[in-house]
This record gives sequence, C-alpha cells and structure tokens, in this order.
Amino acid sequence: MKLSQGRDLQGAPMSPETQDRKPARPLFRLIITVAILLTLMHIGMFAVWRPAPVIVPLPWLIPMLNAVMIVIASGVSFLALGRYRVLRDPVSYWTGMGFAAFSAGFVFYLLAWPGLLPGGEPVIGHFPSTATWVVLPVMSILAVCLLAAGLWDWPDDAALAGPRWLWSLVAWLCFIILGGVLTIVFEKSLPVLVENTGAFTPLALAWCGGVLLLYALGALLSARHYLRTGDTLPGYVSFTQMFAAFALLMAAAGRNRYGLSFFLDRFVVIGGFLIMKFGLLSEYVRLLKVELEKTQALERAAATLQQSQEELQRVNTELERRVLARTRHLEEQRTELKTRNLELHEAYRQLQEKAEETIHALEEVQERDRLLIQQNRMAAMGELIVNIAHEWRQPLNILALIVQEQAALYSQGSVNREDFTATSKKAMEVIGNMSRTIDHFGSFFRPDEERVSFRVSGVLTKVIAMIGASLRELRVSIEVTDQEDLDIWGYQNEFSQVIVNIMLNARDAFRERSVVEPRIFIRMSREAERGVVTIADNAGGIPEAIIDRIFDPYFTTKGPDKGAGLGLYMAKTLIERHMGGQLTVRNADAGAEFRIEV
Amino acid sequence: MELTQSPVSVSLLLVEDEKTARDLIARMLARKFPNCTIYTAVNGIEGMEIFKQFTPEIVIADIKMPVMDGLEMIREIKSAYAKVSCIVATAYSDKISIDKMERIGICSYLLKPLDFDELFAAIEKCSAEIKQQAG
Repeated sequence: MKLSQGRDLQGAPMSPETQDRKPARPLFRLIITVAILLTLMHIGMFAVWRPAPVIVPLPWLIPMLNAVMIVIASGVSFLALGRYRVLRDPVSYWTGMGFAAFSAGFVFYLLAWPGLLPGGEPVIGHFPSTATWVVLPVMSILAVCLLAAGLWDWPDDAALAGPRWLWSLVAWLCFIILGGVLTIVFEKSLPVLVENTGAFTPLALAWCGGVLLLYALGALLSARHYLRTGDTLPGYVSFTQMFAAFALLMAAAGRNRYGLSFFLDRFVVIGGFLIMKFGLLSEYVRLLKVELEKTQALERAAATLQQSQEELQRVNTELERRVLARTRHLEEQRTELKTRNLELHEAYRQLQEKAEETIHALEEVQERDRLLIQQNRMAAMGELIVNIAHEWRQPLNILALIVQEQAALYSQGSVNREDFTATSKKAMEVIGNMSRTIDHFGSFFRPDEERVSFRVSGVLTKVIAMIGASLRELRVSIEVTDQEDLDIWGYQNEFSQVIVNIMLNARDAFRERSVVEPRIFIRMSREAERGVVTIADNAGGIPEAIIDRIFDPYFTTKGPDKGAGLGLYMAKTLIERHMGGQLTVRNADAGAEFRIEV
Repeated sequence: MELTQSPVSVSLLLVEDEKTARDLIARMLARKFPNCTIYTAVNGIEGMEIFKQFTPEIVIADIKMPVMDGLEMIREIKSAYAKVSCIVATAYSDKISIDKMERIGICSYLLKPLDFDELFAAIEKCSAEIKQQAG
C-alpha cells in the first residue's frame, strides 16, 4: 500500500532510518492483551451462563443503546473521513464509509425494533425479523468495509480528487437508505430470521457466524497492517473488529434476541466503537500537536529564512557598497593612469625633441670636426709648403747662380765643354733633389690605398728630406738608432704624417724654449712581434699637468695661428684606430718621448 | 750676362754655409773684381774669426746659417768695427725690416736666389760709400 511504503502516519516521508529500525508499536501489545482478556471473559461467561438466561425484555434499552451506537459511529465516520480529507489514504476512507453506512443503517434498525410502540409494535415494519434483516446486512457491510480498509489500496491519491469523495459518500448513504427502505417494503417476502419468542433461526445464526468470521479475519489483518505501517488507525480498527467479532459471538451464543448475552454484546460493541472514537480523537490531537510543531518549526525556519534574507540583504548591500567603492577606486585609478599616460606621452615627445636636438648638435659637432680636420689639414699643408720653400731655397739659389755663371762665362767666351758638362751635371743633381722633395710631399698627402709592409727607415729618410730644412734652421741634430731593419705593416703615408707631426711638435718646442743644442733621438726596435719607434727630444718635456690631455682634440698650447690642436689627436687616431697600434707619451730625462707601437 | 771686370779694389768676406753656392759666388767675384781680396767662411763663427784676422772692408753674409746666423755675426762685427760695410742675402720669406737693417747698419740687402748683377752693384755701391767716407 502506498501509505505503508511512502508515508508514515503523519504523512511525512519516512526516512531510511525509520524504515530500517523496527518502529515502536504500542497498540500491538494492547490488542493482544485485550484479545486475551475478552477471550477469558467470554469463556467465563459461557461457563457461568450456558445456556444464557433469557431475561425480561426492557423495550427501550436496546433502542437506546443503538442510539448511542449511532451517535458514536457517526462521530467515528466524521473523524475518519476528516482524516481522509487530509491524508487521502484508503484506511481512513473505508473506515469512514463503513461507519457512515453503520450509522445510517442503524437508524432503520432502531426504528424497526419491536416494542417501541404500544402493543409491542416497531415504528417501521411489522415483523420481528425485519430489524434483524436490517442489522445483519449493516454489520456485514461494516465488516466488508473494515476488511477493505486493511486490504484494498483504492482510493489512492489520484482517485476521488477534490470534493468527489464527498459525492461518493452521499451516493453511498443513498444506497444504504434505499437498502433500508427496500427491506422495510419487502419485509413480508423475506425469510424469517427471528421467531416471535426472539429466538434466532438457523439462517440468522449462520449469517452471524459468517460475519463473525469476517470480523475476526479483519481484526487479524488490521493488526498485521498496523504492525507493518505503524499507522494507528488500523490498530484501532483492529480493536473494533475484535469487539464486533466477540459481540456477534455472544449474540449467536445466546441464540435469542432477549438473552443476556445479546444485551451484553451491545456494550462490547459500544466499547469497541468508543476505543475507535477516542483512538481517532487522540490521533487528531497527536496530529494537531505534530502540525503545531511543524508550524513552529516552519515559523522558526521562516524566521531563520527571514534572518538569512536580512543577512543576505545586508551582505548584498555591503557588497554593492564595496563594488561601488571599488568601481570608484578603479575609475580614479583609470583617470590617474590616463593622466600619467598623457604625461608619459608628453615626456616622450620632449625626449624625442631633445634627441632630435642632440642629434642636430652632434651633427653640428661632426660638421665642426670635419671643418676643423679640414682646417688642420690645410694648416699641415701650409706648414709643408713652408717646408718646401725652405727645402727649395738653397737649390733654387744654386741653380740661379749656376745659370748666371754659365751666361757670364759664355759672354767671356771662356766656356769649355768639360766645365759646361760638369756644371750641367751639377744642375741636374740639384734639380733631381728638388724633384724628390716634391715627390715626398706629394706622396705624403696621398691617401693610402691599402695596408702594406714598409721599412721604417725609408719613411724616416723621406720625412727628414721633407722637413729637414726647417730643422736645420734651428740646428736640430737628428740621431737615428736603427737596431734592425724594422718593417711595419700599415699605412705608410699615414705613418709618415704621424712622424712628421711628432717631429714638428719637437721643433716648435725647441723654438719656443730656445734650446741650445736641440736633438731628436729616433730609436727603432721590435718588441713582442710589434714594431716600436720612439721619438724623443731634449726640449725639457711636457708639463705633467697637461701630459694626459695632449692627445685630446682641440687641445693646444700654441697660439691660434699654429693649428687647431688636432695634430696629435689625429696622430693617435691614425695609429690606434687605423693601424690597431698604440701611441703614448712620457717624459724622459731630457724631454718628451713619444712611443709608437704597431 | 755680360761679365766686365770692375776696377773696384776692396777686401771682401763672403760667409755662406752652402759649399756649392759659396764656391760659385767666390769664383764669380774673383772674375768680376780681379783687384779685390776675397775671404770666405762657412758660418758666422768662422766669419768672425776671419774678420778679426783680416778686417775686410765689405762683409757679404747669408742671413740664415747654422751655428751663428748672419745678422748675429754682423752685429758682433759692427760692435767691434763700426766702419765695415755689410751686404746681406736672404730669402723672401725671411726678409728683415728696413728699420732693423738701418739699426744694424747694413749697406745693402739682396734677395735670394741671388742675382749677380745686383750683388756686383751692391759691392760697387758699398765700395763707393767706403771711398766717400775715406775721402
């Protein structure tokens, strides 16, 4: 049955725990106890009163008891159907329907009971059997209904939805009333169940026995149902059935409507009904209590929920506030970033401008450098032209003298062949020297095509030929120590320019300081696979304060007419950058000593 | 050029460091002035010594010379013997100012390359001056 499987008696879903554990069944022991007590009571009664005495009939007693039963039964029906309306379970339904049928049917029984009117007549009907013909079907119907309550799972939740169960009740009552009416109408044609003496016919006894068995069976089934589901209603139904069974047993055992046991069975049935009624009422109270607890729990849950919602609301508000604050903060950051970005852009632009300015300035510096180098070159050329002039002065003078002498001799007619040839030879020597000198100067300024291996002594010879005159003027003596035939791999003309530069610097120093016996010492050697040429003078040396700066560009101690201060800078550049060598200076004993390593 | 002998009769000192030039000039002077006594020196110091020894009337000197240059030598000679006539030869680039020449007392001034006509004219002019002073 659905109820037994899906719900407990409160209608709440059963947890697996309650299914596994054997639940308490308080009514069961009571059922057993009452059954034993009733059995003992009936055995006792039979032992005392067999056969039961027929007592003087009290005409209103049975109808009054029946009226009480109607009241109780209708109450039970009301309570059971009310339960059904809530729980929609077949047990409640069939219990309610059974008791409803009982209430309605017993009204006919009550009215058909003989002796209600003067002369021993009933209110309705005319025969003693009529009342029995009413009561036995009613008892049978109740028995069947209560049996159905324990066995049949109809109506389930879906059947009789809404108010349809009420219509089923109305139809059922109409059916019962119709049955009652038909029994009264056709009472004459019905077989006799009760004699005028009140004794039951065998048919009545058999019927009683059958219904008794139905009740007894129903009591067992209901008890089992109760044990299985824990629903208390089948337990109470079981009581009722048990009591009804014993009542019928007693009625049948008395064999007479007016027997003592027949009277007693009324009380037994009433007892059973009362148990039913109060059982249902206590069930109601319990359910109410459960509902109240549920309501309270719900209220608590609602309160908790309310609290949670409030908390949620609070959290939500807080969250919104924080989101807002965060958003504002982010917005501020974004604005700040934007500002900084703009600043960076500006800074970048300024940097770019500066870079452009710097590049421009560098270009200007480069241009100035180029001009200065050009200037320096021009100055060097001027210097060399002066030197050429010096170099040529004497030979030109000699040539002039030779030519004039020849002319004079010719005019005297004293020219002879030998003298003329010798003079001519002499003139050609002089011219050859002059030619070599300008050749040196020419090659001196020619840019080197490629690095070659050249002999340093050869370079020195040419240099001395070029600038010797200006050195001789100051009576500079040049001492060359050629330890070996030193060859250097480099740019010959550039190397010559370096030597010239250094020697002219020495010459300027001699002139400036009026050195008495000016001397230049040139030493050539080879050290660790490198050619070394040192050029030293005795002009007193370079002041220590400026010795570190003499190779700097534009550094000069001479007047502006003597050069831009690029000579030694260019010399260093040529040796170190072009030839991968080294040009250094130090102060030796008598003067400066330049050292070229290539 | 025409070389006609001059009757000038003075003693001459020629100071010139270049041998070829010195010999050639001395040779030409001897041809031009057969009556003159000609002394030669290679530099200022030697020139001084020879001057002290022979006291020539005219000194012909190259300005630029090693050891002691011409002007220096003339200054020395003049300090000792003021009446001597001096002729100096110099390159264009080394030419000295007229002020300086007058201060030292130079008779004539020649540019190199030397022109013999100019040299001879200068000697004749100087000897004429000497004669004037003597006369």
